[in-house]
Amino acid sequence: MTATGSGPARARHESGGAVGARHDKAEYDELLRLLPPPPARDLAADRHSHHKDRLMQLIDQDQHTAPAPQHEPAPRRRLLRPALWMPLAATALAGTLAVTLTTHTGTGTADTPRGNTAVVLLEQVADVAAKSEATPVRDDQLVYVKSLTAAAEGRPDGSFEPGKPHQREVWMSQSAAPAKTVGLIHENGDYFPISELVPPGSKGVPAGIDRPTYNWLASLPTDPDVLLERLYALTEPADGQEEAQAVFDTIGELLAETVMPPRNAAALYRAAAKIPGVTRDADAVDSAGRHGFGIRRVDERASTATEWVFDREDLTYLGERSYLTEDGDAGAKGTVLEETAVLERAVVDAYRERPGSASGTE
Amino acid sequence: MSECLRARIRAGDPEAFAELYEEYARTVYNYAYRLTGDWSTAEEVMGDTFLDAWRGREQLDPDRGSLKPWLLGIATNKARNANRGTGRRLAFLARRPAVEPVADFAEETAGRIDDARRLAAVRRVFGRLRRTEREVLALCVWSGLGYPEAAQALGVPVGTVRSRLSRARARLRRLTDQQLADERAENATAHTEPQRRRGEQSDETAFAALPIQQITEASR
Repeated sequence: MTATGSGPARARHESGGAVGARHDKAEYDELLRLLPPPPARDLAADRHSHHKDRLMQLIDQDQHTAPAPQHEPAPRRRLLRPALWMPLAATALAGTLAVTLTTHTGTGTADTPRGNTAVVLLEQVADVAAKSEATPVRDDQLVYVKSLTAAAEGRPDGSFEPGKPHQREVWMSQSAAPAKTVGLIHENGDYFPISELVPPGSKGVPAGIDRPTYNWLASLPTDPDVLLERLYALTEPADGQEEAQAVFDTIGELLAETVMPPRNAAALYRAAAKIPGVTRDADAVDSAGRHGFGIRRVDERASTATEWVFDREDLTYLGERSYLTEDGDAGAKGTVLEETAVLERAVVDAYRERPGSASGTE
Repeated sequence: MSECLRARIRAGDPEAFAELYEEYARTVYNYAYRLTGDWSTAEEVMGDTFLDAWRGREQLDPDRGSLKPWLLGIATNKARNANRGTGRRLAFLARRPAVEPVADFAEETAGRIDDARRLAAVRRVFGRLRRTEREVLALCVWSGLGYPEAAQALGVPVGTVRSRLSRARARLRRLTDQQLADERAENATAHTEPQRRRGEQSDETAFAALPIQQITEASR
């Protein structure tokens, strides 16, 4: 019962036996040559004990309160973006902001200054959204979203090379039931399914905050206070992240590659208006070069801003971007980390089907 | 013993979890590091993995082999979550590979320096692979799981593990050679051909479009 046998040296040996076919063996050997195991490390003894204590305490606590586990341990899943490897919004490392935290019981706008231009803008955006056209989506259909997107890549010196905007298409499953394959992406010339990595035995991820289908979004409260309260409950901030930032980012994800009823879109914007620290940007631009108004929240600790862009004329949602707010090792202030411009949203009946190209009854 | 431990884990025996932790904490910690590129994140992932293992104990398949694929499957999910968020993702991509302490560079043989350089190149290249490719590589090549075990950990068919590995291998060949070529070009005192700028390699599609022959020549 020691951990000494689990290092890379033994790892090589172990898998030799499990690799069956000759073909596999050759491939495995080449991979091992291409990818020498990085150095392994032991956790410091006190940290090792700390985590063990935490585990034992949890076990103790659970055994005295709830005898059986209620739900599976699948971690909270956000909207998947395999090509980008994360949601657009800057979620991690939000720090303490020098703003008063509003209560997230939804009691109100007390901390939001009257006349805040962000609040005014979001109210106008919500009014426009409420009057937009609705396309109810069935469970067996797919939401199709075409966008122009770019993500920065790290250079070896620690700075970032902004990405080149390229087209991305997604088809998102609308099934309410748990699913392991929940969509398809077409990007960089490749199609790849959005597959959920779920623990063995799990049926997959049902529609929900991590897989926001039309019908799930339609089921959300339309009272902004109640909705915000729900979003706080559904959002799990990353370690050290400010809850308000996490919720702002969650709303951004819900607005990105989705279709929802107008009343729910309006409610999301009104809920966002109640999040502290949200400001208006008089001139924001999306990855397609379209200028408009921005709604922004700055994550001080990560020195990044997340911004949604709205058309200056008709106040419709154009896209989202994140960028550095300070000069630093990662790059100069203003360096764009990720950006997306939504070009088209539609409802289709099959994977790889595009609006207008349907043979069926669109 | 493993069978016995498995049954006790499923039954919720606290002592069995203590044993599980002692046996696999290090494995999970190092696996998490390979996916996240950050030791403190790896520690969080490791700690949370065991908490989730406890809470998900009843979903443990009662009759399969090692408990390792089960734990690494949970850790994979945790690492994916930890990697979400711009800050961490950017930190991962930007992080230089850890420099191993070297007593005296002058005594290093050319071969070892070359190895270290290769490892550094691998680390950077690894960060450019797709997430799903990194996961199968970390499971199969670095954590010693067989293909069926990796499939079990990821909840995908064995065929998917195979195809991801094949694809990863093809990309690794290209990316590693290119990375080394770039570094050699940079280190050379005289350049006989125009040097590629770093920025050019940030786009994977540009990489893929390079003729193999050209890359091979450049790396020789």
